[in-house]
This record gives sequence, C-alpha cells and structure tokens, in this order.
Amino acid sequence: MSKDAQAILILCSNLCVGEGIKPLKPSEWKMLARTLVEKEMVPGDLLDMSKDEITKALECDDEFAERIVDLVGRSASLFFEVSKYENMGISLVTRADKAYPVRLKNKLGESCPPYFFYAGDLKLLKKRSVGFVGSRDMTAGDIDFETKLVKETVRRKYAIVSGGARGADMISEEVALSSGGRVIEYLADSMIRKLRKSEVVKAVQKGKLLLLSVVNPDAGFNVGNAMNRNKYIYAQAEAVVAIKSIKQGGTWSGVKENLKNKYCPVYCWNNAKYSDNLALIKEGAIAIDGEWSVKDLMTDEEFRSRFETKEKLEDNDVKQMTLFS
Amino acid sequence: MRPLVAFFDIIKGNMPEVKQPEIYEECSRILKELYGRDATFRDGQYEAIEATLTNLRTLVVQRTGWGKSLVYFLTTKLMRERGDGVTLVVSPLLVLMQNQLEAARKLDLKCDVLNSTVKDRRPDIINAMVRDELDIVFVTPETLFSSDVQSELRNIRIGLFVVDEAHCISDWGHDFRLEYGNLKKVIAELPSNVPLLATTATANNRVIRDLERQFGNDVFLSRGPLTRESLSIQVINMPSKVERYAWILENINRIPGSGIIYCLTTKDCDNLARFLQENGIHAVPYHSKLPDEYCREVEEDFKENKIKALVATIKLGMGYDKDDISFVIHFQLPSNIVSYYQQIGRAGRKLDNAYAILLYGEEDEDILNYFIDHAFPSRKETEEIYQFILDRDGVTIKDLQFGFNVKRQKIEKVLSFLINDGFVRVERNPIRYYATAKRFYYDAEKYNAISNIRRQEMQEMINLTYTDKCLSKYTVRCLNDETAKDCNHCVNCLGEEFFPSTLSGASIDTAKDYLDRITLEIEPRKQWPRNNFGDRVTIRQPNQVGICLSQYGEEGYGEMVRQDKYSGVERFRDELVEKGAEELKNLIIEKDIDYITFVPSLRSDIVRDYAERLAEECGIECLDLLDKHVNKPQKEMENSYYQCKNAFEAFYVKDRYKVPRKVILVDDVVDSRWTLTVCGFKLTECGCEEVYPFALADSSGRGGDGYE
Repeated sequence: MSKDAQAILILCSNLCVGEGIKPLKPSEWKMLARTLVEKEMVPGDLLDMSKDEITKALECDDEFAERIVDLVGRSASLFFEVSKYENMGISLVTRADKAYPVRLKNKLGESCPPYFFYAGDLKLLKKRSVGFVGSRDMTAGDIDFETKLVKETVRRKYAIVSGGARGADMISEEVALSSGGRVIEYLADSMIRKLRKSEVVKAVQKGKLLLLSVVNPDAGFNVGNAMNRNKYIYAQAEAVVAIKSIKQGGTWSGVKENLKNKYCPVYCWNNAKYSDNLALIKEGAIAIDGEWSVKDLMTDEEFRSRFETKEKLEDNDVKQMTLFS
Repeated sequence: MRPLVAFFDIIKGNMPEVKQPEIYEECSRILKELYGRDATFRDGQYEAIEATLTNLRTLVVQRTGWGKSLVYFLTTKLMRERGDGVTLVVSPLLVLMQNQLEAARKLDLKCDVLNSTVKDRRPDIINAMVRDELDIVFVTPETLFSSDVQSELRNIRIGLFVVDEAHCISDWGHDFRLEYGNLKKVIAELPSNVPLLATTATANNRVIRDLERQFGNDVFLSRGPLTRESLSIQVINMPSKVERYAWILENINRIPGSGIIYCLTTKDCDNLARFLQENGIHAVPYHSKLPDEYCREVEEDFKENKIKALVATIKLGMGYDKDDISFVIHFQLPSNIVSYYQQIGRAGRKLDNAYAILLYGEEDEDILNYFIDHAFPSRKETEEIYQFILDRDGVTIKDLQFGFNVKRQKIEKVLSFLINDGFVRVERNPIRYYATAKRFYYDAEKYNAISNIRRQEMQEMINLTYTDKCLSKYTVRCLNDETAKDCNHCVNCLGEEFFPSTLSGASIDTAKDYLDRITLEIEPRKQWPRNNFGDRVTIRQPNQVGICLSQYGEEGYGEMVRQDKYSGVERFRDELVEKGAEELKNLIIEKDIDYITFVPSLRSDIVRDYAERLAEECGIECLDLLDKHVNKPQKEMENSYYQCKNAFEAFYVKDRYKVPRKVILVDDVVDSRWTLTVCGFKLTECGCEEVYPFALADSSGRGGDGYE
C-alpha cells in the first residue's frame, strides 16, 4: 500500500476508532483534500508531522491538527485490523490507488468514498456493465422477466452490477454467474457473511464476482449504508434496469436519486400492474418490456437530454481530479 | 583469564556515529539516568536507537549479552517523554518475558506482560494500555492475536513496535513459528510512521536478507561479531544412548555449577532426568508437555542454583537469561548450527568459562530427518481438506474428522497451515472454518526449498562433529560472521580434551540397567470417539492401566520387537518373553491375576505364540478368548473415529463362558489403543471385571517420541 493510501485509511477509516477519536467524515476529508492540493502536499506528508507542523502547513486550528495527530497515533493498531482482513482475502482500495473504481470518481467526484473494502478482481471494474435493481419480494413473473434481461445482458458480454441484497439483486447475481457472466456487487452490509457461502467464494476466486463495500466487513445491515450504496451502482453501471419498485423502498429512492442526479440512464419495466414502476417512468425512467437489450443503450447525454425541456441542466462542476482528492 | 563480559557492564566502545546530535544528547542523558554516570554506549547501540527514532525499520543482529534490550528500553523512555504511545514487545517465550520485565522495572519503566500466565489480570492490563499508563508491554504472538487483545487494540496507541527473536518470522529461519505468521502480515502492512525494531542473536545472511525484504525499504542493519568468548566447546562421538547416559553420569559432577542438557524429544528429557535423579544428581525435565506452573517453579529453582541440570527440549531456548549457567550438554544433535549456537549461548553469560559439550549419537540423524520430513503437510492432504472446506458453507473439526481418515493432529496441522497462508479463516462461537477469497495453491516449490535448506543445515551441523578446525570459529562462520577467528580454547584449538571421551564399565552397566528397566504405561482410553452428534460417550468399564515394554524401534527392546516382527520367523525372541514376565510379575502377584489372553490376528500367529510363552513363563494360563472377522489393517485407519469403528466391527468374544474376572490382554505393538480398548470392552461385556493391557512396543509417538 502506498503511503498516501495508508494516510487516507489512517485519517478516514472507522476501523480503529477508539474512545474520543473520530475519523474524518467524507465531507471533512473533502475539505482536507482540497487544502492539500492547494498547499501542494500529499496525504502521506501528514504521517510524519507534529501537531505544530500540521497547524502551520495546513493553516488549520489546533483542534484539527490534534485530531490528525491522534488519528496517526493509531496507525499501528489500524494496520492490525487491515492485515486481519487482508488475511481473509479482503483488501482495501483507496482514492490514492489507480485501481479505485474510476467511474465512481468521474461521476461522483468528491463525494465518492475515500476507500472501499473489496474481495475479487478489481479489473472487472473496467468491463462495460449494467445494473439490475429491484424489490426484495419478487414474484415468479418478476423473476422470469429479470432472468431474461440478465441473460441477454450477459450474452452481450456486459457485466452485471448489483447490490447483493435479497430478491432482485441476488437473482441477477445468480443468473449472471450461472450463465458465465461477471458480477460487480456494491454491498451495504457484511462482506464476511456473504463470504460464508461456498458459491460466492468460488465465484470471487475465479474472478467472476467482485464484492465492494464501504462498511467494515463484519458490520451488519444498516439502512443508511444501503441508501448510500445505491449511488455507487448507478455510477458504476452504464445503465440501470429497475425490475420492480415499491414506493419508499430502496429501489424507489435509488431510481429517484438517479433521476435527479442523472448518473446514468435508468430503465424501468413498463408493467401495468406495478403502479410505482409507472410513476417512475412518468418521472423520466425509460419504459421497457421483455424485448429490451443492452445493444441499444442510451448514452448519458441522450438520457440527460430527455429532461432538458423540463429543467435547465445545472453545470456539473466536475473538476480535474488528482489521484487522492 | 579472559575478560569478564557482563550484561550491564557497559564497556567503552568506539565513539558512535551520530547523525542527529540532538537525539544523541538526549540518549546520552537517559543512558546516564538509567545506567549510571559512567555509562557509555556499546558498539552499535546508539546507532540502532537513532535509526529507530528516525522511523527506519531497524534490524539488530547481535550476540546474546550485547544489550539489545537496552536499545528498546532507552528508545521507549525517549519516546514516552515525547508523548508517544506504548512500546509493544512481541516475544515468543514466557521465560524471556519475565526476565525482561524485571530488567525494565529496575529502570523505572512501567511495564507488564500479556500472556497465558496472566489470564485473570488481562482485562486490567489491557485497560491500563488503553489509558496509556504503561510504557512497555511484553506480549506473546498468541496473546497479541487473541480476540480480547485484538478488540481493544483500536483503543491503544502503539508508539514503538518491537519484534524480539525476529528470525521467527522468516520461513527460512531455523525456528519458523506459525504463530508468527500473523505478525509477519501486520509488519508487511505497518505504515512507515510506526517505528519497527526487530532483534535477534541468531540470523544468518539468508534470514537477514529475508527479513530486510519483509520490512521493506530503508532497513537499518546493526550487526556485530557473534563469538562468545567464554565458551569452551568439546564434541564427543557416542553412537549409543547407553554410552551417552553413562558419560553424563560420570562427568556431570566434574563440571562446577549448574547447566542445561538439551534433548530432541520430551521422552528423552523425562528418561534422562529420571536416570540422573536415581543416581543422586538433581536433574529435572523441562519441556512443553509439562504444566506451565511446574515449569515456572523449575525456572525459579534453576535460577537459584538449586538444580544441577535442566534436561530440556528447545522449549528452554531463546533469550533465557540466567547469567551463570556453567555448561550446556547436547544429548543429541540440534537440527542446525543456528539452534546450536543459540543453545550454547545460554551458558557463560557472566562466567569466565563455561562448557559446551556436544554428544551425538547414531539415532540423531533419523530424528532430525523426521522433523524435516514432517514439517509441512502433504499436497494430497492439504488439497483434499481445502476442497472439502471450499465446497461447504462452513465446516467444523468434527466434519473434517468424519470426512477424512486422517489423524486429528494432522487435520489440525493442515488447518493451521491453511489459516496461516490465508486460504482458510476461522469464525468463533461456534468454531467454523471457511475458505477465504484467496485462491488456493500448494506451494510445493517453497516447501521443498525450505526442506532442502534444512537438510543442508543439518549437514552443516553434522560437519561440526568431524571438523578438526576451531569449533567456535566453525559455528560462528556458519552464521556468516566473517570476523570470527580461532578461539584458542576449544578442544580442537587446544588439542586436548576437557572431559574424557572414554567411559568406565560401571557407569555403562548402570545406564544399561536403567534403559532396560524403563517401561511405559498404557493409559486406558476412557471415552469413545465423538459420534455423529459430536458427543463423547464414556466407556463404562475402561481397561486398567497397562504395561508396554518399549518404544517401537528404539535401542534395546524396541529394536528387538522391530526385528522379530518382520524377521519372517513368526516368533519373538526369548529375551522378550523373559522381560515381559519380569515386568508383569508384580502386577500378577499384586492383583492376583490367573489368566492371559491375546489380541487375535488373521494374518499371523506371532502374538498368540508370544502370549502362550509369556503365560508359561509367568506360571499362569493362556486363554484363547477372542476372534476376529476380516477387516482392514488397523494401521491404515488414521483417526479415532475410523480406528475405533474398524476395531469394533472386527473383534468378538468367541467363548463367553470362559471369560475370567481378571485378565492380561497381550498385543505386540500398540498404536491408537483402539484395538486394546475394543477388545477389553468386549471382554468386560462378557463379565470380565479388570482387563490389564500389555504390549511389547508402542509405535504411536504419543508421549513416545514427543518431538518438539
């Protein structure tokens, strides 16, 4: 791991939060990263500095400098944790690493997380991919519909992006893997629990399944995590297909968030029985039926242009990113 | 008289090479505070401290007694003054910790130990670390990675990370330990702002290169001469065990003071210690099969010179710090020169002269080869067990035992390798094994390479027994210390023996009597193997404690058993019958036993023949009570479950009305004890009340070889 990557973990990860010491929140890291760029420094520099040196270099207050020094003081303990996970085949990739999900960096800018835990082959991130999202409660008809679309997607050599939850997520994973496809999963809960399954472990080992998560590998499910996780799926995939959405559910809010931010084109099953699906289509999701295929995906621009009549697109101020910002 | 080399006697060295004067100034101040006004640094000590303080990875390879602990005591003092976190000293051995703890306390460092001996106090110690009240904590790798420490580690500020006996983290070291595997991975991840100080007295070039590679760039190496001036080395070739027993008996009291006798196996420690005790010498065994509490008492007594000799395995090894040990005798060859150097280095720390006597025998190479051959689990076992785990959503040890006809110890060994390499992980409560996301491969190439090196190193050790050059120089040169010169005080340099290599007849007789006499008990099994539900059922009426004549294949009776069993004559020699009768005499009288029976065999009548002759010799009757269905040879059954099942299905009592109340049950070679257990059980089912097993030899290695 590079020194900058180490520094990002030391400052931002909550792997090793003791009493009275808080890691930097994503927003705080964002500010710090900006300052570092401004001062022509790199995160690793902070590891060797005293409190006074930090105050001077960053022109920050004593309290903040002390917090950094305290966090750096936990370095050794933190890397005990890191090596523990490493020994289970769970690694960390930070924004300072080239292998970090680059589509996330491009689409989410400063708001993408400082690091991900992952298991599997990060090269999968380079594949063209389509996300599949949907309810946890799926009927036989829902499953048939999703299976057909996933198979078509896999047949055209696209990877599947999923959230790894029960229902629609699991179906896309299983169908894709069993038909020789590749799957990228952004998990909202315990990666370790996921890795108890023999089939999952085998797929990860073979490089067919890549698991990523911002939460600690042994953490349980948390709604906040799940909501945050949605945008990683939309940022990673070239397009997302929503199979079935129920108002106020995770899929619903994910699609809504994407309709607002337009990370990628979102398709939605035009099924007359699912009024919530129809509502999303009304708000801008692209209606599809069982004949849909990835071969005629809409580009991001085409998708955005669907909205331009309604609203003036805000200037997206995605700046040139440095490696760690 | 050679000069006195003392631990805290800081001799005037060359002026240290100072890169950062302000650090030097502070260090000198603290040195004088801690060690007195006249104290100066020994060669290399200051440089190592400075390197550590400037965040370099620092590797100190210096002989025992050089003052490695001074380096981290002083560094700790300085770092604590600067407001840094606690110093964590990872150290493999309890004895070592106790010694260092005392040394650190003398210097007013607030310190404690975290290991298995402080179980009750552990939460308090960990809390003290969280509150940042301790300066140094000595911790064993096992404890460091235990869940109670790991879960609190996140609340602990670690200032300095010290790895003592660092050669243990090298696969290429003479003493690689699996427990150091986790440590190795943490070190690989440790960010550069955490200072790392690794120390060892025993690393050759290969190990040093490996450690440097593991520590990453910018390793500061402190390396000094390894020659220990106060040691006088003698090598004596004594092929037979009897002679070596006799030699020690004759000579041990010629050496003043107390010392250590190193054996390769726990069994040898027990036997030799008992022999010496019987002959009025205060010798006690010390090895890993003895309880911790006992070992601590022994250490205490030894420290106070109440014991003439500790008869020890390598358990008494690294860093044991008693400065007036006046001799180290090797009863068998150590596995390599590094171990040898380390073990003789226990002696003469504060003495002008101490003896290192190497006896070596004909069995040594076999034992050493056994160690080498069994160091790594086989490809087949490893692959099969891994695949079994990979194919399931979590497995238990029990699942593995039912799934494989392999010894439980073997399964555990394979697991520990798989876990260490990160291919398998454990979840606790309840314990389940899972395959990790890492792709499995069996690193045969590496294992072969390591085995080959170990064979070469064994050869190097054997060569020491042939060389006519300076023994000290030979030893130290093998550790790549090119500065070594002729010592002028080993037997080869002096051209005369310190102790005679010839023996008187009397001591040989004493030794021979003793070795012939020692027999082994057959401890009865008291429980059936775990059933499908994981329960263990008690055996209602287990066998009595039995008698076994010998270790299979071992010099004396063990060798006779081996020869006769496969001679094709189908007959154990009369000597074995006589010896058997002699051993049983007391038992027969004491317990009033009238009958002998035997374990039947479909393949050979050698046991029946022996039992009949034994009965005659003892003057009691031999009964033919048991019979057997065709089954697989018991020795092909590798774990309890299969052994017991196989035996249970095979044996039956053919004439239940003849079964007596008390009987001696004879077999030739005992291994898992399931045959004797099952036959005994079937006899008791038919009304027998006491079954006394008797075997000619034990081939289990249980307590038998006791390789460490």
